[in-house]
Amino acid sequence: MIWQTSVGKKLLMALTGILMLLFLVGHTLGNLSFYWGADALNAYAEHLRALGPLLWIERLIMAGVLVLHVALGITLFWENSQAKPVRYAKSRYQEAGPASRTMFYTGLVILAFVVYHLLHFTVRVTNPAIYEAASGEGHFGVYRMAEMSFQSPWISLIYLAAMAAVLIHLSHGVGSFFQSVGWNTDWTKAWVNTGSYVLAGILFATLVSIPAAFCLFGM
Amino acid sequence: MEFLLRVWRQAGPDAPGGFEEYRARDVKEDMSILEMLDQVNQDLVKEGRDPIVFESDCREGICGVCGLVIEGVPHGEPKKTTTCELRMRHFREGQTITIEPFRAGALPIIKDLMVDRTALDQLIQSGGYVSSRTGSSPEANTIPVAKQDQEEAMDAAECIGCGACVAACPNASAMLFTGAKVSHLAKLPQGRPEAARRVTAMTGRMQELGFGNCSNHYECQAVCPKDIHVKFISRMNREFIKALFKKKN
Ligand code: HEM
Ligand code: FES
Repeated sequence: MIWQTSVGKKLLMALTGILMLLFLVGHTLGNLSFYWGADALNAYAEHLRALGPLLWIERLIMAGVLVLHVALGITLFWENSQAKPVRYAKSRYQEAGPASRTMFYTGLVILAFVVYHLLHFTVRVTNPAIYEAASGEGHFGVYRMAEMSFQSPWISLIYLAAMAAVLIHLSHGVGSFFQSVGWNTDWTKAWVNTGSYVLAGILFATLVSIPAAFCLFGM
Repeated sequence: MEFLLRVWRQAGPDAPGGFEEYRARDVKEDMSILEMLDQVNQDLVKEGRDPIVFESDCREGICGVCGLVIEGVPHGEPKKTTTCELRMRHFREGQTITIEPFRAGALPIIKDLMVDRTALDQLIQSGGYVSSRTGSSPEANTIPVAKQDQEEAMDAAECIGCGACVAACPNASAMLFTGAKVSHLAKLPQGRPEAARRVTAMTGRMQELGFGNCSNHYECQAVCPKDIHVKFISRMNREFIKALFKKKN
C-alpha cells in the first residue's frame, strides 16, 4: 500500500529526501576543513578514501536513495499533471510559493549537478590538466584540485547555480518533510517553515563560501 | 454597478468549451455573485438564449454545492466564504470578472460551470463513516471524550464537501477533504476501531479516483470556506504510518 497511495509515495519521498539532507549536512561539515588550510582538507579527503568498503556501502546506500527519490519525484510529477488535465485560464496562487511550485525542476538541476560533481571531483574526468597538476608531489592534492577548479569562474558559477537550486529545493522540502511524516500541528507549521529557510540558507552560504573564496580571493 | 463577465460555456461533458462575454447591468453591491448571475440569466432567457448553468442550493454557505472559480480563486478572493456568500461589493465597478468551473480530472464538467462531484461521495463511501449497531440510541456520555479532542474533531468535521480544495490544488489532490474526514473520525473514540482500515481504504480510493498527490502547496486551506487546517493532512499521514505498522487481523 505504500507504493499505491499518494500518502505512501510522499512518505518515501520525505524519508529519502531527509536522508539526502543528512548526507548533505555531513558533507558540508566535512568541507569546513577547508578553513583549516590545505593540509586539513587533504587529510580529510585521505581519511574518507581510507574508509574503503565502508565508503562503498555509504555510496551504494546514497545511490539507492537518490534513485528512489528521483523515480518517485518523476512519478508524482507525472501523476499530478494527469490529475489536472485542464488548467485555469486565470489562476492566482494564494499560498504556494516559487519553491513549492518548482520542486521538480530544482530537483532536476540538482540531479544534473550531482552527476557533474561526481565526474569532476570523484571520477575526475572533466579537467585532465587540473588533475595532472594536482597529482604532482607523490600524493593527490584535493586542495590543489579545488583551488585550480574554482579559479575558473565557469566552474564556480556552475557550483553557485546548483547550490541555489539546493537552497530553493530545501526551503520547501524540509518543511514538507514534517508535514509528510505527520509531525505538523497547529503551532509547528510556522516554526518548521521558518526553520527550513534558515537551515537551507546556512547550508547554501557554507557550501558556496568555498568556491567563492577560491574564485574571488584565490585562496 | 456594472461588470463585464467572461464565463466558461460548455454544452456537455465532452463538448468543446470556451469563454463568452456578458454585460451585467444594474447590479446591487449587496447582491451575491449568484444573484448577479441569476439576473444575467433572466436577460438571457428573455432573449431566448441558453442560460448559464451553475449549481446552488442553500445559498447560505452550508450545503457546499456552489463552487465557482472567480478571478482565478475557487469561491473568490475573500477568505472563508463560499461562492454564494460572495458579495458584489468585493469587486471594482466596471471590472471584468472571469468565472470558470472547478478544474480537476476527478471532477468532470457536466455543463458550463457545473461539475460532477460524485468522486467526493465515492471517497466517503470507501471509509468516511463509523459502523455502529442499530437499535435504540446509546446513553449519551457513556463514552467520555476530552473537550480538546472533541473540539479538534469538530474543526475537521466542519467540511461541507464543496471540493474547493481539489479545485485550488495545482495537482487536483483531495488530501484536505480526505484528511479532514480521517482526522474527524480518528480523533473520537467511536472512530478508533476502524481507524487503520479507514485511512488505508480512503487513501487507496483517492488514488483510484484520479486525484493527484499532495505537494504541500497549502492552496487548499487558503480557499476552504471553513478554513480547515492543513494539520489534518499531517494527521492523516500520521494515521497512515500507524496503519502500516498495525498487524493485519
Ligand atoms: C541533494 C539532493 C536532494 C535533497 C536533499 C532533496 C530533499 C527533498 C525533500 C526533503 C523533499 C520533501 C519531501 C516531502 O514532500 O515530504 C523533497 C521533495 C522533492 N524532491 Fe528532492 N531532494 C534532492 C534531490 C532531488 C532530485 C535530484 C530530484 C529530481 C527529480 C528531486 C525531486 C523532488 C520532488 C519532485 C519533490 C517534491 C515531491 C512533491 O511534493 O510532489 N529531489 N526533496
Ligand atoms: S449554495 Fe449552499 S453553500 Fe453555497
